[in-house]
Amino acid sequence: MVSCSICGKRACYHRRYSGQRFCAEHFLEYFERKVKKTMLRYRMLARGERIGVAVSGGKDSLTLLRILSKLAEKLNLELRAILIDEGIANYRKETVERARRFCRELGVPLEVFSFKERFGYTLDEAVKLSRRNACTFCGVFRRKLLNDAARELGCEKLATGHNLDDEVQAIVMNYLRGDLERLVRLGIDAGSEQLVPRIKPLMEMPEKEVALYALLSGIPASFDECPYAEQSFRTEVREMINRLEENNPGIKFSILRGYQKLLPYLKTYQAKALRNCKTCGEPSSGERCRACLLLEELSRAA
Amino acid sequence: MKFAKGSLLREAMKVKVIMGREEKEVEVEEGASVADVLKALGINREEVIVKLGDAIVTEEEPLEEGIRIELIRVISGG
Repeated sequence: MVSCSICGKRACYHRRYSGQRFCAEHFLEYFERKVKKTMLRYRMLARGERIGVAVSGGKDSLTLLRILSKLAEKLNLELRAILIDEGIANYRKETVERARRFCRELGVPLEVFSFKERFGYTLDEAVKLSRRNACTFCGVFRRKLLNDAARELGCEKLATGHNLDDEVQAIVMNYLRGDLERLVRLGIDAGSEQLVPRIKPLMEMPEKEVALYALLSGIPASFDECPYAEQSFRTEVREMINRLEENNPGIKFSILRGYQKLLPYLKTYQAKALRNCKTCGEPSSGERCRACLLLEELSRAA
Repeated sequence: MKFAKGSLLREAMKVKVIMGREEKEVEVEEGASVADVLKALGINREEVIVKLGDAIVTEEEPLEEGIRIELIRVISGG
């Protein structure tokens, strides 16, 4: 039997990058402490704020919601769960139900915003009309709708469940594509009053640790993979990074820390100033925002 | 039959692995750990959580002949 470094009970997790082993109880304790430490370190929250929490019904967002709800009373936070229904057959319906039940259990109000209602197309319909892959539509529409929702609900911050793996994948994808514009934007504040500032309290927690927290604390999270996920470049990058991590524990943190050290230099790069989209008035790096360009493409194809 | 490091005589053992609806039997060296089974299956330890009965275990957990382990994929989308 492999034992917990703290109490000697059976270990359920070996944190290879630090050499520690934890039993269930000490893992949960370590996890919550580290998420709080991350929020303090990056000054993510202030007392009395209204926080929009993006929930999908997956392990990351429900873990985030649980930890924030534990802090809500102490910090006088007002939480609003925001769920985006993209319109993916045989996938989203079940996760919506799961999120609804969990929010009820925690006493957090949940608002559902759908692609179909806002944009006129479900994601499935958009994919059928276009040759673009699903992740392009989903990424652009979801980002816009989350921001609109948080603003309409009067939220001061928008919290998302991005974990360490998500962050590192985004950094490496932008390096590999040579996309300096996105690489800079990843690490800086919104840059427009119309964009609700985002916080990512799980950004220093590896995906496996988030999954373990969800399992051990009985969070009714979905572990189903999005049916469109295999199409993405992100999958290739994820597999590459996980291979590196397996042989070099801690490399995900090195990638994140390296990026944070580079950031002050990257900020000197003249990122395009945000202006307002000519069609919808929302912040955009071009004359018209990506969402409006994609919607025009779809209406031409329909 | 193989001679492993330290000249100990090691025999092969079989371990049952459940992943989703699939069940596989894997042959590994006697005294192998969860990590050895994952390696034999080409599965990255970063992408799964391992259950032995009701308990979640680390990849270092030693296994015995005929034991059954369950792998839970941690990757989820959306």
